Amino acid sequence: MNITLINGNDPGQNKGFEDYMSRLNNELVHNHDVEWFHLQALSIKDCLGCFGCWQKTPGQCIFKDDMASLIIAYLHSDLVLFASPLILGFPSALLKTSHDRLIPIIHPYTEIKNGELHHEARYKKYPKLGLLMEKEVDTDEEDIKIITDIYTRIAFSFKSALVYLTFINTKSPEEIAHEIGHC
Amino acid sequence: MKLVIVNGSPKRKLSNTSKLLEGFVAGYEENRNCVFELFSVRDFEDQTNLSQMINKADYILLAFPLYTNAMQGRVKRFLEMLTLLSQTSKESNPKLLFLIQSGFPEALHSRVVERYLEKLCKRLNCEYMGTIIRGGIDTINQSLPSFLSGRVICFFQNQMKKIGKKFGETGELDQKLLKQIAFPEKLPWIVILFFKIYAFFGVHYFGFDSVLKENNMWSNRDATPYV
Ligand SMILES: Cc1cc2nc3c(=O)[nH]c(=O)nc-3n(C[C@H](O)[C@H](O)[C@H](O)COP(=O)(O)O)c2cc1C
Repeated sequence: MNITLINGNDPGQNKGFEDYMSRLNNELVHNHDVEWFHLQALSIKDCLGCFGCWQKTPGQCIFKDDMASLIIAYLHSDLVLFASPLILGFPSALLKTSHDRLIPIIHPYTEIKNGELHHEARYKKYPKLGLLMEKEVDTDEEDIKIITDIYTRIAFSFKSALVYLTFINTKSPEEIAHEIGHC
Repeated sequence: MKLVIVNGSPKRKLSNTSKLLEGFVAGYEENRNCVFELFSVRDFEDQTNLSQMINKADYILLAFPLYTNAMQGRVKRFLEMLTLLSQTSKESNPKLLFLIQSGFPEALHSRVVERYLEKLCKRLNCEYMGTIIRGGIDTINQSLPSFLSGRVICFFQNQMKKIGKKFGETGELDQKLLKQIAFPEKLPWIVILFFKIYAFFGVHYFGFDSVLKENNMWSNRDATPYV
């Protein structure tokens, strides 16, 4: 599989997560083509909400930063894995910004899906999505339900499905790599 | 009562969020001794302004547009900065209330985030006062002629005004008014039917098409630059 791993961790804050991700990457590369993006080291600006990517330069953001190469990798993947430790019960701001900046890959036109308004697809094919997280000390079932519900909706908006969601706390990188292989 | 309002839209004063906040503030200010201060989330790129703001506030109203079914990255960063509240007692912390404003008209797009915000308040040791949800300003601007869309937005502002007035009076968000302003929770079947008929004839593209044509980009609307 072509896998894009988008890591939204800040290594200065969480060294353990960083080490885990590089071990996971080492496992994944045995069987997959992995491209990995380290958001902290890249320049990815916050979305300005200008809708230029729909109205002025269809499909393209006004910002010329590292998001373009991330989108290219994203669209050429079979599976995109978002990764982040939880901070206040949700993935990092860094990771969230990368989702905001993905709206150029969908179309402004709307359609009704599941009885709700959504946007149409721009591309023919989109990757499946997965989410790797690290629990905080107080993470409970309610948090997991909320995150799952939000990311199920995010995947749906990006014309995809959330096929994998897990926490690194109690699994080895080998186990996770194995599970990902079955997605 | 001292209220701090933080506008989470990157568009600041030009935002739809700001339009709704104007209504809220107009009602809130009708009460005696109700004062407020307005910030943009972009005023808090570092921690220095933040503690000052928190110390002044009895209540913080965080208002933001829905971005990819959640809060924008920038708003999440602001929330992460609020972690400092979890160090202090609930009695001394400001109480939190929220406004989520989505592009799509149905409130259901914002409901999961509402659950997140309630849980967040527990983590931050702050009392949760509720979430105002209003969607559809974008959809209305795109699908109605401007004299009509202006009226509808005025109507929303009036609803916000009532919510703000009541909040100033009681220090609480009125559940009945919250329910009213969130309407519709999901699309009524009749709207779905009309949408499908419009879609069949391509009429519902009209709003987007006129903007694309204005920008000379209509023929380029389906561009797929990244494959
Ligand atoms: C990157 C991005 C993502 C968005 N995602 C959603 C969404 O998931 N659901 C929705 O209803 N509206 C979504 N919107 C629409 C905004 O919520 C809507 O335009 C809102 O009115 C903007 O508010 P503002 O003018 O206060 O910034 C999105 C807009 C942008 C720019």
